[in-house]
Amino acid sequence: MSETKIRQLDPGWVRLERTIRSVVLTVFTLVTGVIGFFLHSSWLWPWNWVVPMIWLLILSIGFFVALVLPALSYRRWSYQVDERVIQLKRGIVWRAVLAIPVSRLQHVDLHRGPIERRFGLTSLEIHTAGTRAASHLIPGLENDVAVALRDELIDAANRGANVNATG
Amino acid sequence: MSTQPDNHEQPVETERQPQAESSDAVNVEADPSEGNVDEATATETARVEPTVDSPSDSDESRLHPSTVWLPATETMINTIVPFVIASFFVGPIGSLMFFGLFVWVPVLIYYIVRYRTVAYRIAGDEVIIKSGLLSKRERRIPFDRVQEVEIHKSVLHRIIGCAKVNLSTAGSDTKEAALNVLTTQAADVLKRSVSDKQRVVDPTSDDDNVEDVSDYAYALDLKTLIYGGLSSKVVATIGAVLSTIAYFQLFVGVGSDWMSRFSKQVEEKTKQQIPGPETWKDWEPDLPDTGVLGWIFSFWTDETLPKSILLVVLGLGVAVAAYVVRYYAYRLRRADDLLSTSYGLLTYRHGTLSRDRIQALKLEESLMRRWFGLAAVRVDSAGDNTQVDENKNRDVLVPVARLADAEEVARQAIPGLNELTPIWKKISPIAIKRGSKKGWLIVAVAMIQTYFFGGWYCLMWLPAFPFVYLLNRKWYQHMGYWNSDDYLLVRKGWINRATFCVPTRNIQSVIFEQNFFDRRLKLASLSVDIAGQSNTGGGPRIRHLPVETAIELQRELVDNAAACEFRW
Repeated sequence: MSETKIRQLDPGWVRLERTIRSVVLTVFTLVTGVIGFFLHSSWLWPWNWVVPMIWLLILSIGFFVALVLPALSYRRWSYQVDERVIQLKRGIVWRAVLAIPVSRLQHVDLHRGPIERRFGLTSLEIHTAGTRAASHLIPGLENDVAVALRDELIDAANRGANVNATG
Repeated sequence: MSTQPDNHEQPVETERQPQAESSDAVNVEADPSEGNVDEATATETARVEPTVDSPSDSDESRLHPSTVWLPATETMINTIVPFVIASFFVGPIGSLMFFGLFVWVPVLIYYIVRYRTVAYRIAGDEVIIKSGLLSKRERRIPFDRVQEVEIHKSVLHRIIGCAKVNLSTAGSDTKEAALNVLTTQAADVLKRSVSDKQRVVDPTSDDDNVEDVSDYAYALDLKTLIYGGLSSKVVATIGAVLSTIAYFQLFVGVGSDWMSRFSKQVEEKTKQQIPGPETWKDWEPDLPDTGVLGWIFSFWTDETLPKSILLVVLGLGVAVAAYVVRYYAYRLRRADDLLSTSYGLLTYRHGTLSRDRIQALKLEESLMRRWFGLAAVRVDSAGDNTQVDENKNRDVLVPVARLADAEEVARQAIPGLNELTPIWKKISPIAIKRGSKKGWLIVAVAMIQTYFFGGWYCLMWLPAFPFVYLLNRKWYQHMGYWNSDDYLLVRKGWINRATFCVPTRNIQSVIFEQNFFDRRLKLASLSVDIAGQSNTGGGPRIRHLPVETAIELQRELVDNAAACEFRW
């Protein structure tokens, strides 16, 4: 954890997250809206306005989660890699700093889903032999950056193994 | 209940395996001598398999003929209690149909198929196991890769002189091979093949050279075992239930005779059956019924308290007896990196485990165990991902031992561990206040609830407030952590105090966490992730650390971990 460069995710990740979450929110709105339209709430009279109000409240929370949270989350997300330790920082309300010794790497995965591909982004997953926190995801990396990071991690892990084997 | 410790193991295993090894044997001819228990040699008849080119085909052996009936019988015995309980609800026929159709018959069929299909042979440095009914599977397990050998002998196994052998390797969480029902000789041959390769010490053998090859030996004496049973969790639970009942009875009074319905039935029955003069039946002891004495005696005349006590004493007796039977003649030995254990009066268990494979160790000293000066040791090995229930106790290293012995066993299990009771570093004392507030909130909610249902009876919750504070204070006093370059120690808990020990080389990652409230109080939690969590509950989590300390500790742990290689 020495003074190495603190790196951020690709800004495109915010747009990616917004897109995915907006799609989910739209589907949710449509489905609950259609169901609500046909639902009879007259037995609640004169309190039947409560139901659409709750619906609107949920929707506004949904808008917040879909449009505002990704930007906040992006600002808190950072990672740092040196020859010995990988460090991930994230979280808005529940903040976490994960520190993984490079020598504990089991393997590194790159994921590129259909929506991610459209944005030219890749997520990188680090696997350790652990149990509760056996895999760690770094989302929203630009394709080349992700590939470079993967090679960097594997190089660092190999170097560590060689040092240990010889020394 | 725990007189049949296999209760949970058996059905799970039998359900899992058919999928894993739904298996073969197109070319297996029926053995005419099957079912003949005494002719163990008949199972080791040679089978010619032209397709396999290995030279030592002639040693191929099959499972013991009792495979056909023994596991099924055992399952039946083990499920007799749920069967009886179920028959109360759905009637004996429904229960029989359910258990027969979904438990007994499948197990029976599975083991018949297994008997017909499984064949194994020892070839040089490995054991080759063939299985499979439709898709054939041939598994080769090199002996030096075997991490754990378990030999299980239930009462049924022992009567006919057989055993069950489990081999496990680091690669998989489930057993690599489970050979149920082998002759004792065959099991010994397998075990010896592994130990010859690995220099395992068999704690059961009476050879003189056992002492020579073992670097450490521990045997549990009966006195410690009985004390261990008395201080076990089951007994503690029974005690807690009794004191709760007693407390509620004292507070709520005689009205809450929780056994009244049951006891009245018994009373009616006995009154009808007991012959004798009329006066016997209505005899009531002449006890004062006013004043303080009368109040106290009202519990006795009501019979609830004596009945509760009787029930508890019976429960204690059964629990202690079950504990003693389970861990009878416990022995542990170490030779080089291999630990081997054996125990059991009825069901005999023998296991070997490589010291390299141990990921974390937990020294358990519950409140009662501390009174007796006892402790237990648990370890976790790599690849144990699933949480197992306590009754299974697979990797419990020592069920109970005097504290000094337990600490010595811990040192034997983790080389380089020399300090188990260091001067503990403390967490932030704010922890007491935070914990108490949380507890008080829960008690307050319960109190309000009770007020709505029982009016002023809600006052019976009042003693809970100071108790919650005491609990948190005690918890804080016992909480501590300590780390050196080689390992991390965390001690936690008051009633169930446990000391976790994680060697630095096994740390997979260290996670610093802070929620909203933590941030306001400038606190943080630190969790350590390791490769096993079945028996110790995984790597420890230290809460309520001051932020700077947490950051510092995280850096230390990760830097030290990065400096050494993790090996399985």
